[in-house]
Amino acid sequence: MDIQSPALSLKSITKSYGDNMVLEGVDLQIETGSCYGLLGNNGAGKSTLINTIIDLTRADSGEVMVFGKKYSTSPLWIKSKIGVLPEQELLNSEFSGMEQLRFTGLLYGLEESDLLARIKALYNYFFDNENDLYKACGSYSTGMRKKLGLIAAVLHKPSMLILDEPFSGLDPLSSQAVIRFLKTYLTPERTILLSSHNLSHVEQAATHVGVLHNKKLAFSGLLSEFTVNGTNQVEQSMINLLKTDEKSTQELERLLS
Amino acid sequence: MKRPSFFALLRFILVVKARLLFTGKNSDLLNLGRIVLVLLLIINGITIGIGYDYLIASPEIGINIDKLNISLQLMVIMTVVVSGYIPTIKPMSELFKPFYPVNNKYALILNHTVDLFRPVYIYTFISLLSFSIYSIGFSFVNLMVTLLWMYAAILTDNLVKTTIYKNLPQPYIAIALLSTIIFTIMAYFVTGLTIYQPTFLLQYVLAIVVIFVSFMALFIWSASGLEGRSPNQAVVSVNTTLKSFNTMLINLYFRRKTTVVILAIVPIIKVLILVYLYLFYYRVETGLGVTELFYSYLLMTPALIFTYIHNNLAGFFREVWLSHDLCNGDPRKLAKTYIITLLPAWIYDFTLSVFALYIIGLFAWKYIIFYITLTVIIYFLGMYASIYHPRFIDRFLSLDRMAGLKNNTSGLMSFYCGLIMLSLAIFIEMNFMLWYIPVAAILIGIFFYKSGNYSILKYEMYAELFRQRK
Repeated sequence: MDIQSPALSLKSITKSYGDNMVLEGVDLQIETGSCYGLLGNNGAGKSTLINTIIDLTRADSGEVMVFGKKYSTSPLWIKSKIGVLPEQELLNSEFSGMEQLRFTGLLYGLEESDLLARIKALYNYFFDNENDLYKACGSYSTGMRKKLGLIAAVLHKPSMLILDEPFSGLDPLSSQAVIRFLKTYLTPERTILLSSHNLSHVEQAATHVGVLHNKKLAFSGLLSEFTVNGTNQVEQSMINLLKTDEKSTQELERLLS
Repeated sequence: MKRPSFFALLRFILVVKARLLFTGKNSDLLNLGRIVLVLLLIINGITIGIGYDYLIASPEIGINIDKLNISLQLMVIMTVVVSGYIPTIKPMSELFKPFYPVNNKYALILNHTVDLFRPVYIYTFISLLSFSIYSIGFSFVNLMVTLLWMYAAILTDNLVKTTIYKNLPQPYIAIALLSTIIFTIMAYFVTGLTIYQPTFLLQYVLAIVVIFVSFMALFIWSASGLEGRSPNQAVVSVNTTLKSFNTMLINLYFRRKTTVVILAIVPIIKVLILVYLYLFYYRVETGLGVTELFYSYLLMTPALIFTYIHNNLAGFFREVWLSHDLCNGDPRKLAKTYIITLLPAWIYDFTLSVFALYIIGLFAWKYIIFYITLTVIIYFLGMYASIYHPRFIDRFLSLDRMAGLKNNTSGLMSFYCGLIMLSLAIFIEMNFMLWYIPVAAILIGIFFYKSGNYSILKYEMYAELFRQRK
């Protein structure tokens, strides 16, 4: 790994679906050792950007570099260095949780004994009932699937963890467990990129934030630069940044009265 | 990073699959169904085999035809038909997510290997084998020939589908084409050596079969080679091409290259079947027998053609579904879409079939009844089944899903249709001894009358793109 290179570097990423441009010239640089929270409204293009970063979607133009390397030249090397929790379904519904994790571990070339130890440790951290590990993934609740997906993403101890909406579907306790885990996982050698709608969770976990708005990054920098003193800092800063007009509730009040 | 061992992964996946057979969801009920299905397949194979032997042994047939040769020809057709009944452009084993550090080709090969253990192939093999054993007596050569054919069909089928889905380059299709032709020649070479009639084989059978299979492969090749659009491109085309039903029809029949190719090849297929039928008819010098009936049914059965058209139409209908807001689940709109788009293809295929049968002198009203009944049952049951899920076309003719015996209304419907089709064919010949098929259909229907459990990922992807487009 090229230590001098940033963990992730995006240059002029542009992506459209037909006539609908989702990303327009997005530039982003994430340094190693940071936890970068990607924020934005619904449909702002967060998932598209993350899919571009993990090579699920090819950008129309621009350049993606992970640890100084491109997918076109070192796809397997990059993929072995990142762990991904995608927005779309990751688990094979017919596999049991244990089978899914073992399968993932095999793909990352982990030794069986080491793999089982990691699975047990991670599972016991995120789950209470060990029996669930042997149930079919298809029978898992949304939160359980999310947590199992997170375990699968970190099994091989990736240098960069990319999480698309990791908190959606999680109860408050599980969300806190994930935040604690992310803080523990983050070291100077590792990088985390996560997208979320939940600003308070991002505020707790992230060291840096970026806000996608109008197809571009409206802000990218340290969390401390983004927020102001007080509670709900990130939320207030988001509102200030995006200058969301409060819609009149007069008509609604009339209808609902 | 240590590269994961191919055999370790394969072993792991197959162990999971084996476990699912016995401990998966509804496995007891499913296994009962599987046993019934296997018994049916064996009975079916034996029945055809014995009937065929009876035909060959009949003193009315004056010409000496080698039984192995004939049975092999039948196997060719059966394999083609079976292969044709697995039409979905769906991903095969999609165990490898794109972000896993696994080489694409490596994943492709492993997915192929895993897919060879799909139940449909095992069922097909059982059916062919039971036919083979009870028609000409079991022999090692016969078993090998059957296996060769199975392998050629499976390989072709898998490669074609992978190529379509993954939008892979054409060499994979070329491999499929070559393998099909090579295995055709090999099978007949083995047979020819066994029965010491190389001249006869070279003069007639080999040439015809190679042409037949080559055309089949070319047909698939043409259709799949043109079906290389990405989902994004497909959604883009919604904007540009699908403004109304009229433009939809024009696009489907005149501008969509795959449909044009398929419709152009339909007469070629019909003529090939006709030539095959004519040569056989000429050589046997007898009245209507089992084999002639079989070919006639094939000629009059739109399923083979329509499965490929549906193969092509699957993506098209998804676009239609999205573009015309059929997601509201309005069955009348759905029916209208079906009828308007399928009617020209129906008329086209029907005219060709009747014309072909008329030429060969096998035309009869019972075939018309057979055709109409069949199409009405298949398509309207399919429409009914599809109301419950947007991925209707993908599913309702998918014997593949049915063979997996998953809970799937559409797959179940298609299975019913197949059985009803067979029953009708048998009924036309007044052979009441074979009414076990509808009885079995009812039994299996009772076992599997349950819907749900759909994989909707692909649809979700389209829906998401559609939403973004909006």
